[in-house]
Amino acid sequence: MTIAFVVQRYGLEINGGAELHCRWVAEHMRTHMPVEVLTSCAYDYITWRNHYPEGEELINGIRVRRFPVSRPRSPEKFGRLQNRILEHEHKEQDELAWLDEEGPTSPKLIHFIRKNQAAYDYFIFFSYRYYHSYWGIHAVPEKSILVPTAEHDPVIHLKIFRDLFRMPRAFVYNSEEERVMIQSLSRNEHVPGLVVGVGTEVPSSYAADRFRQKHGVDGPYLIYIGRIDQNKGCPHLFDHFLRFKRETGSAVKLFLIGSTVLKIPAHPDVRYLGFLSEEDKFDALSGAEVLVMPSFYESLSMVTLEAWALGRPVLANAKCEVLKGQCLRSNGGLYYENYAEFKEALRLLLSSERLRAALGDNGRAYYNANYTWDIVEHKYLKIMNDLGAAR
Amino acid sequence: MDSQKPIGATQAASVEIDYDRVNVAEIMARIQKAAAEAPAELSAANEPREAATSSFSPASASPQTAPPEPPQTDWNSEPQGAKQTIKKILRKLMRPFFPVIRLLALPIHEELRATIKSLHETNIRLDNLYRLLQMQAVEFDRKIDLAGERMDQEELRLDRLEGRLKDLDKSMEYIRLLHNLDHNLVVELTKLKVETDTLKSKVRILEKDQELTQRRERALEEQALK
Repeated sequence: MTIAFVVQRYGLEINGGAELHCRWVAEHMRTHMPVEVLTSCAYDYITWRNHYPEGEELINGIRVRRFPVSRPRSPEKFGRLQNRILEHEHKEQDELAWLDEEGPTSPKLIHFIRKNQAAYDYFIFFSYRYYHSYWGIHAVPEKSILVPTAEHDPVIHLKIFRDLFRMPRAFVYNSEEERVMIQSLSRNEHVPGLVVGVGTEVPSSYAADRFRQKHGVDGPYLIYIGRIDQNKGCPHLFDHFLRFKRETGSAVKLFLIGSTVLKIPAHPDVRYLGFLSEEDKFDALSGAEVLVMPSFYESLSMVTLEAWALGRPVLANAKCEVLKGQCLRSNGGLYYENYAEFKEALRLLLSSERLRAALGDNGRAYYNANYTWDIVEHKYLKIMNDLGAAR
Repeated sequence: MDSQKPIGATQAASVEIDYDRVNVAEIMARIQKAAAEAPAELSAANEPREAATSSFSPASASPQTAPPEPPQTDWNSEPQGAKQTIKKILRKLMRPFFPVIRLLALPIHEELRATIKSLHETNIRLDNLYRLLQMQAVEFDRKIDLAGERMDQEELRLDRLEGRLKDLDKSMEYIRLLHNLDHNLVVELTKLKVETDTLKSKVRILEKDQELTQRRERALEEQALK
């Protein structure tokens, strides 16, 4: 059995979101069957401009075939089209024009899939909302498996996607909430699907003290890991945290790790550490009292799973149904919808080491039961075996 | 990190948590309840900053403020007066029977606890249902707004369509008039053709007459010359 993973970008430098998710799954599935990756030459997800050379290359033992992007995205035109389809009446052609503009527009990739479909048993498409998934699934619906990585994004309501969700042979969902959302939108209950998610690479050793020494940290701290962005709820986090400090006089600090597109408030207890190595990141996470996840839109928060893998509790934004659902199912974290709840929950977490430990233990047990690589690989194999048996 | 040492200047008061079986839903229900009660406390104290401690942690306060006094109930204080003396004697007399009384009251106590627990769970469910209802109401309002906007747009489209229908009626009238004009033109042209044919016939007759006249003329000339 040979499978092809189809994803918008691929590379060791791309370290987040569906692309990293795809790379990890591909690298683990390689131990079970021949695996290839079909992707674009893009690196920049804003314009999809060609960056990598067209052709084949080996990345961590996997053959990666890259196809050029015929037309980079114009962010202004894309913004106009998106406003039009989200705010005005429109036709299906408008939605398809939006999809073409969203990209990464690579007709050669779709042509390759159509022409070489006999060489692969299944095509696993990552991220429903891009050109490669839409046209790729249309090219080989009977061999396609979709990992939608869907969030509560307004574009998910577009008609083209409702139809798309009824086409693949199977779905690999990241969470129960994602499955419910997609099924309620498209009524695609007849398409088989499993909630799988993704494992995580936890280093064999990590040390909070190493992080404290390296960065001169003392005292308790909360940690946020990820892109520091409006969509990730960071402005609310800053607001809530500073207000919490003012009102309670707590000595707790907030450490931020990741790339930023926002101005970070100038406060002695809010520290931005930039982009850290994996080792530093896990050292920092292991020493944190709580991981804070203020994001509104997540299909599966990898960093939340990493916190649970290290036995750390989580304080999540309840407006993100996935995060709230994960906290409730795992009993591994608390959540908040507004400042009052943030304050109460954080105060409770900070005041009780036993509660933090109990939540962390629950999170770790949940992670071990659902998100270790053995379990994730087994679920992928099960889906493909079930589809093979149904043929 | 010292497990006994609180982090921050304030800390939450003791909350009954079964650490061997932590239930996030229950904890969150209490947190939400405490958070919902917080504004009431604020207004009661009329000191927003200092009174920001919630009912979830009544013993906590900001460092600048003394913690609020818990309600004082002195369970050991002795009652005063004759009535209280009699009560005291009766209590002493009944003391040997206290275990029996407690034993008799135990099932009721258990039942009361179960009822309170059940009521508490019902409250949680009701809170959840209420929140769900609120979310659905918001969603419903949003949909109504959307439907209203769409109706407005439809009305605009209808107006535009009516305008176009009027234009279409005018165009049809013009076409009808043009059709009549065409018909009349055809009739006139046919008449003209008939007239042309008649005139041509007359010209041919005149030509023949002229030819005949010329022949007679030539014949007469010949006769005259002879």
